[in-house]
Amino acid sequence: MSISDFQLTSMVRRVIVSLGLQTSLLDITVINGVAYVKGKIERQDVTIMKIRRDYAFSQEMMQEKLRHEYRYTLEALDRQIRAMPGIHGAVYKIKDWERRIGKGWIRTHGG
Amino acid sequence: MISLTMDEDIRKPIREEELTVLAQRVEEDTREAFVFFKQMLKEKQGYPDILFPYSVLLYYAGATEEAEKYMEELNRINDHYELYTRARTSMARGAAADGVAPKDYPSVEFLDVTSQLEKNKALLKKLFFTGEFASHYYSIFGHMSRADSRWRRSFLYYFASFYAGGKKDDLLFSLGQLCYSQGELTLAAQALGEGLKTNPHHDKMGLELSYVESELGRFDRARELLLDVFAQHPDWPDVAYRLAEYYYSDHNIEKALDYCNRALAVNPAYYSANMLKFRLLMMKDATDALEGFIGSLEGHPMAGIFQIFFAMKSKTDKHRVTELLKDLPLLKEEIIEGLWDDMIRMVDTAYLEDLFESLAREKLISEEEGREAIKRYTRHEHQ
Repeated sequence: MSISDFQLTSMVRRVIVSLGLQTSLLDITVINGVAYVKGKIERQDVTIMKIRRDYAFSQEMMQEKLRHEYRYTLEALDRQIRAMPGIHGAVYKIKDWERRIGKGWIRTHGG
Repeated sequence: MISLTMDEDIRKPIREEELTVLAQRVEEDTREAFVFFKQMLKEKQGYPDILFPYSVLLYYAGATEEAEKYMEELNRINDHYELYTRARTSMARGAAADGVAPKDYPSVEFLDVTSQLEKNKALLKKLFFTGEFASHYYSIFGHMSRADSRWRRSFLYYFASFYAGGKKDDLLFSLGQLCYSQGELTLAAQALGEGLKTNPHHDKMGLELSYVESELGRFDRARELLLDVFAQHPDWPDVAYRLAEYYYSDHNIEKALDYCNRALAVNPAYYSANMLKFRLLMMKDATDALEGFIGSLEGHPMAGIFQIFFAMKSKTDKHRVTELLKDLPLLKEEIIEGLWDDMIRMVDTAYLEDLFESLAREKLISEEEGREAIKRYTRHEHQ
């Protein structure tokens, strides 16, 4: 078996782990070189929790900071997945987020 | 692969001063952990299991009454998990913090843990708590340091956790995950492999190791591991689906379909399994099965997508396909981006040419996009 979807799925999964995202909330697969990632993105690290605590006084500011953190994570995810040899595209069905051609990641719900 | 600075390299022998600094950090890390878990609890994330680490933290921070309160709450919700019952009993007796150090430690070959433990035992005894719950206490910091990419600190906390509780499989699983997060796959395979030998029935070790082995290109080993896990847990859809992926990559369509069906029997909404099953049925040209399958997904967003490709493959009137595509504008973009090429290439080229021209006439795609698409798929057929 040469480099295959089976192997690529593992590689995509590891990128997700290395970015601190919860794999249990995501359905990850690669079919014929296209990565599919569906579910919810959630980071459970001190940075995220500190934002939630430090900006608790303003929901708007907290959401803005979180949006920024998650957008950065999603950009890194997409960049790293697409850079993998054998991957020629990625489809995302992420709760509250959409990746639009030419516009990048857009938060669709939740502020 | 991530390059490591010397400070983060977990292969380096443990130095005494590192353990001293780590012990001094515990208080600060406890405070940081409180921020984390309080927020989690406030948002009900990971509830009720989150109550366990939170309660352990409180207990070791000296807030024993509050710790007991949360452990009680956890036991009220989940009274069949022995660990939680034991924790409640120990806390009630006031015996959770001063647990007994293991008399004999199991031998750990990975990173020479056993000899590092022997060498540092006297110092460890001075610096760290011992016992089952102390082991969980230090593990919490190990996990949090790992989430923050503080690899060396995470390693040291896992080491302290092993000193406190002597649980070899827990240590190796945590270290395996730590190496995996770092991209140190060979090391991860060593840790998880030794862990699996220690406890072949560990809930997650085999599945985790199979991911590592498949990434390392050791596909037969990955398959064997998955089959072992599947034999123990036939109701785990993720394992059945990984086997479907394996057999699909190995061009065994029937077996891939069989494992897809097993995954879907447990979780009919499983996105990946539905995506793969659709392709497998398309490859088999199983018209009746495809109709039944798409029909079973009625109301599901995937049904519309599958309907379109099935209609294209069976050369359904292109006006009908155009109408279907109008309902799914994102799909059109994905097709143009080439993300459904494997499906498109199953469609007759002449039909496809007509369809793209029709889509351009209907202004669903630009004329240029239509020309590009026709060129791409026609060229592929001649290659």
